[in-house]
Amino acid sequence: MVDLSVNMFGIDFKNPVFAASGTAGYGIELVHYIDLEKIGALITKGVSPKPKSGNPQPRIIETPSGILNSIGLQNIGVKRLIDEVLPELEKYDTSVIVNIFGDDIDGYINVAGAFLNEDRVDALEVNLSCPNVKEGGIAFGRDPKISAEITSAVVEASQKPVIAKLTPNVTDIAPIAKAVEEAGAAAVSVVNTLLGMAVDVETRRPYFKNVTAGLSGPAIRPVALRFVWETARAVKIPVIGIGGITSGKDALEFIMAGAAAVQVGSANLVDPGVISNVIDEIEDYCTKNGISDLKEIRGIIKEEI
Amino acid sequence: MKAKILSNREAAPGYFRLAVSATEALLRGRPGQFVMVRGEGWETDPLLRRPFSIYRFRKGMEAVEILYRAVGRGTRLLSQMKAGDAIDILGPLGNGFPDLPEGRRSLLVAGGAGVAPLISVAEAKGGSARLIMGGKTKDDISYVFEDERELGIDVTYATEDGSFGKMGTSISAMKEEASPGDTVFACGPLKMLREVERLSREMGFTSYVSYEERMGCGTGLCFGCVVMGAGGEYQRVCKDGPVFDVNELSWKDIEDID
Ligand SMILES: Cc1cc2nc3c(=O)[nH]c(=O)nc-3n(C[C@H](O)[C@H](O)[C@H](O)COP(=O)(O)OP(=O)(O)OC[C@H]3O[C@@H](n4cnc5c(N)ncnc54)[C@H](O)[C@@H]3O)c2cc1C
Ligand SMILES: Cc1cc2nc3c(=O)[nH]c(=O)nc-3n(C[C@H](O)[C@H](O)[C@H](O)COP(=O)(O)O)c2cc1C
Ligand code: FES
Repeated sequence: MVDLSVNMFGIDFKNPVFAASGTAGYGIELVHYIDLEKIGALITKGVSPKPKSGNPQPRIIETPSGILNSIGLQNIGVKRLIDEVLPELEKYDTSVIVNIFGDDIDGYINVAGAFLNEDRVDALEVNLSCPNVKEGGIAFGRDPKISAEITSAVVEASQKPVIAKLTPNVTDIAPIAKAVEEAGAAAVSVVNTLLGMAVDVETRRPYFKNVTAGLSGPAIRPVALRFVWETARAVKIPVIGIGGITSGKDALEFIMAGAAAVQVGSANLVDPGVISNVIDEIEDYCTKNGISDLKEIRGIIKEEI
Repeated sequence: MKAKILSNREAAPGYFRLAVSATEALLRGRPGQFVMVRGEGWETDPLLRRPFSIYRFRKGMEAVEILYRAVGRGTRLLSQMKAGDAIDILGPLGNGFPDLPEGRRSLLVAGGAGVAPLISVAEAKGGSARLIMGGKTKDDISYVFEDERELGIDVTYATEDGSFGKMGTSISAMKEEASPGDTVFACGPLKMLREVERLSREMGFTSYVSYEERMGCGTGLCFGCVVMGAGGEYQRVCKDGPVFDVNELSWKDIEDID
């Protein structure tokens, strides 16, 4: 028997394969396509203090092996998430992580505080890739100091394990990872989407109203893997690897680079049952290779190079 | 869900009919529902599935048929696939058309490939629905001749160049035929749907439109496919639609992209 379970920050996850925020709806949508109880954890769509309507159309375009999205963080707001979504998720024996964001530090504190007494929520994942309106739209997460400030404020407000989700749109990720670790993050998620853009040559206009958009999917996998490897070398807290994972083999690359767990994002949009396959493929690999615990291969290349 | 292609042929220049083996669940779908499709072997490029309405439920053959126009990369790749090839199909998705009220006349108003979700409505409704089929030229409408024969439905054809049927659009033909109290089911370009909305207000009939939007997942996961609802909240076309009562949408907020 292969034991795929992982313990991170005091929580036992059945396995290390999670559904990434924004690619699994609020979780309820996924139940028609996959056994929610099989996945390691469900990370819900990012919520803010107030509902947010998101960006106008178009919101999605395909790129070679990737997706550019400009959803604009549309969500029902924290109150409706707690009143309408959490009671539905209560029916399933699944770890639930809620992804949160705000327009400013007070917004982050406000949304985090709402989960103080919500036992159904195992942890919060803080999206640090949101544009900091006051600083001209530069993501909060590009600045180690602001990232740390938000992280400690969320830890204090929620009293929950806090996972800081880092942006890849930086030259060097290690100082940011270290800053949030010191600020009390229980883990880091690496990475969010890469900034990209598309142009409609017929209209000679940017395809998206906001010009830039977030790139995800297999196209970003090698870049994400490098960020995970760099982060795993820089911090002691668990690293959750994200970026273009579609198969067990992809997930194993991240685990060998040092990830304690992984998230599957865009692949859910192509095949809403894909996480089940990823878990089975990891298990098969372990069986074939005589691995009884993923610890044996986790971070195996971390120190070597 | 893996399925087999039973046939894939060009039924009119640029328009293809694709028949694929279907599960029970898919065959129980409602007219107006759709499927998300990708070819096996597409690997990760193209990455996303493509949405297509269910054109015909072929219950006897345990198959469904899709009608598609080859417009871009995915549909061109699809058009090269052959009987026996494997295809990945997810569905039935979306809400589908409501049942038609008994004893009322219904008009099915189609613009080009927008006829796709309407033929299955016509099939289900037998003689009580009339199809108004519009296109730029005869090529845009001629594949429907087969269905007209097989299903014995009443069709009014209209072409903009006058090469077949009435000269004009499906909207101009609809204006001649519609009367207050009718129910209109429409699918086609956004411009056409706007006209349906306007005329239903002015002439006093009930209209349902099958709305088209770029989709990521087709299953409600990504919020990529939204349209502004009358209540001021974005609706997911794939989950809350694709069929909407025209009064459910906020038409002034809908921009013409594409
Ligand atoms: C619910 C729904 C049902 C549909 N049913 C049918 C159908 O039954 N038959 C049919 O022929 N088409 C249908 N469409 C449109 C069809 O999905 C697109 O034509 C197809 O996805 C294009 O794929 P592609 O890879 O060939 O194009 P791409 O290479 O991805 O794009 C090429 C061009 O195709 C057009 N296009 C791409 N995606 C869409 C889209 N979602 N809607 C409209 N235009 C698009 C754009 O003009 C784009 O520039 C439906 C769309 C939706 C949302
Ligand atoms: C449509 C879409 C919506 C997303 N929404 C969020 C979000 O609300 N919060 C967040 O932290 N990340 C969000 N992401 C980022 C993903 O969680 C993930 O980090 C990213 O897509 C990279 O992983 P992937 O390549 O497996 O998709 C979103 C991604 C996509 C494609
Ligand atoms: S296409 Fe993803 S929500 Fe509709």
